[in-house]
Amino acid sequence: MSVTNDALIQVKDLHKSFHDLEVLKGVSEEIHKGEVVSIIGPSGSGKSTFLRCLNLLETPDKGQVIFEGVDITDQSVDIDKHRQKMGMIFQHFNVFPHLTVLENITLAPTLELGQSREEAQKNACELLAKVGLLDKKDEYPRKLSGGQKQRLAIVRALAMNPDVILMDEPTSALDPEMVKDVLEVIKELADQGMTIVIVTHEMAFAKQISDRVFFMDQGIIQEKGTPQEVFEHPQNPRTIDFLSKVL
Amino acid sequence: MKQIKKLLICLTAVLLAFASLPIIAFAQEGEESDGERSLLDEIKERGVLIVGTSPDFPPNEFIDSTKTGQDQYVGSDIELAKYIAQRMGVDLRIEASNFDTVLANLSTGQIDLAITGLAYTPARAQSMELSIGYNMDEDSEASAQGVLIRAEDADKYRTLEDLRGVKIAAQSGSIQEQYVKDQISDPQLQSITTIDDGVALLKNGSVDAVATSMPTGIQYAQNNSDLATMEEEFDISADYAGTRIGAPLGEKELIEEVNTILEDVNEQGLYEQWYEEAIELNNNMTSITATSFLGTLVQIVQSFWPQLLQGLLITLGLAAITVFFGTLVGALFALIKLSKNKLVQAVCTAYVELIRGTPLLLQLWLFITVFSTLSGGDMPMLVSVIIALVVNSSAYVAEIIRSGIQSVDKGQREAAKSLGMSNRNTMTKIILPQAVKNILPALGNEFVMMVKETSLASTFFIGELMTVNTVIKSATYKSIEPLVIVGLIYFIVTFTLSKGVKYMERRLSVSD
Repeated sequence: MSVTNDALIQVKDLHKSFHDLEVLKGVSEEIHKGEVVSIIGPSGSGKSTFLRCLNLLETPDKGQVIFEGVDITDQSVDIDKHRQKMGMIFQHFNVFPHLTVLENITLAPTLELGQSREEAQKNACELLAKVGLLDKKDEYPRKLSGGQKQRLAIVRALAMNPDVILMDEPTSALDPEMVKDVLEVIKELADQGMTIVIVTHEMAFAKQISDRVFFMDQGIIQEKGTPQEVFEHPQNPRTIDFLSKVL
Repeated sequence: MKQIKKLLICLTAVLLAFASLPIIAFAQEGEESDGERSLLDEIKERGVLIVGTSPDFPPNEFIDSTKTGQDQYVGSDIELAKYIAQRMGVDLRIEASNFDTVLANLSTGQIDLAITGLAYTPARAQSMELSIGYNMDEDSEASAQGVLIRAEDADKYRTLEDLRGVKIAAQSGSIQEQYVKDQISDPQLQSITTIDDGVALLKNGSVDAVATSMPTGIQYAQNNSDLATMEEEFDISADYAGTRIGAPLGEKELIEEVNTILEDVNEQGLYEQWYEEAIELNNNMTSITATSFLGTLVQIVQSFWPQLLQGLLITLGLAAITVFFGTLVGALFALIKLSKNKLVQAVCTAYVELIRGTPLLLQLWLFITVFSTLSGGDMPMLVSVIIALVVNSSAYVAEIIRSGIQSVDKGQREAAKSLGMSNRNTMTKIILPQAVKNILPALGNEFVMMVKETSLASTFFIGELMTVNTVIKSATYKSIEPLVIVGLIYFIVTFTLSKGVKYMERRLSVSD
């Protein structure tokens, strides 16, 4: 693993409210290139909102997100271009049901990156082979299991050749026997040096793959550090309380 | 606060939209009257005389169902119209509609003259220019006015005095209505639009008598064994004698020209000649001989199937054109409604709500009136009708498309956006292909609705199924049978189409 000190994403004083509920109360943080960061915390702590603010699926009320040196919260920035470099994996997969597995993967690269059909398909097939889905390439997603759909979603994100992948509880909607396949794919990505920010409830997994862990509660990052620091020697009483319930 | 502001913007937009149409129309009208050009000059310049008539009044004006287009309108009044046009040295165009519509069209300038068996009433003389009388012979059967009753009541109702307090139907605004008010004490007057409607009411017992001109009454009595004409007829005073031609109020030059021509017609006895010919033509046409209900149905279908088929095709064509263009316009409005610009959004919302919140029949009238005023009567009725239908349909389609788009899972848009896809690509490649599955069946249902809704346009005689119903009614003097036949056709078509839509819905949902 090659964690560097270059900040890939810088977050400055991020605030976000939904109606009267303040979900993010001023989060400042940096994600470095090659780093795997897990975000843990109780429901409603603002983990997913924080993640969704990173690629502006949620527009922050206040604060900045600087990605690869560009303030993407600036209105004049073409956000689509920057999102191409930030893959995202969703809890409910969000694969495109009207497209085949192959079309799911090649659509964005051909439309937005100007790849030729052949190039995109070749690339897609290589990626599909890596996650064991090549034989499904001409199927429609309705024929896939949950685990297969999530692996497809990961391949779809990878096909854009992103610099970071944001994962929003990627295994929460899966049947237990499917979880392992997906976690293996994520681990492999991490081993290859992909920058990953993952919101997860899989504590053992977080401990295993993370370079750093953020514990979020009540709209701020309460505690952060290496997996050893956070999981084995938590300092904040909230962290201690949370871990005592989930471990 | 925000809600109230939004509501205010919408309301203002609605009011503006409502107000602008008539304002434009009136502005145009003002310009015309400044020009000091009489209608007579205009007719001569354009080379066409537009005559409005209600062709459900044989033998004066009725439809020859063996012909189409302008040739289908026949009768003594039509001959008179042809004669007037010829004397003016211009071509004739007949604009057919129901009686009330003829009078309304005269006041909006859609037509130049109303030749539709008009009788003199004091109220009418105030709202339009009335010509001198024609068809003046008071003793003749042609100008007699009387009462149609059920045959079984022939002994009960002999004189006008017998009708005291009895329910009697008369065309609203007609001379018969005037006679009923003047000559029957304590009349229980029921207003009707056409004599056919009155006959239907008479047959089912809703009224006990129908005031009508005697020639028409006699025709009905001859063709329906359960009907009869009452012995005593209305007393026709000199004031009311003869039939009149109407011209728009203030067009003195035109009505004087018409009067000059009518003097010649009266002098040479031309109208009486045309009248005889029309009766003969009408007698040849009405050949329903069956006595049983079913027999009549079969005979009507046998003699009128080309008209019914044509009416059905026009109905389907109208619905198809309407839904096609309604979809184009509606899609545009749906996309604007989903956009971010608050002002255009408010205008679109106002449009959709305004159209959905007012009756289609009102919209038809509004568009026809406004367009005819704007175009000086040059806009063909059918075009106005189609535009009104398209506008109406587009509002419903806009909602269909908007809800179809919004029913696509939010995660689909987020996934596309997270891949860096542009808004346009997200819409065209991800959202719309999935929304179509919800939209197509709903559009199919809109088409089925439109097949039925187009019947409202029959008020303007544009030839669809419901107009054919009127044609058959006036040709056969049967009122229930044509309704049953046309109703069956509507039902078979819409039922089949609905089944088709259901099938399409099932097929499309397979991919889920």
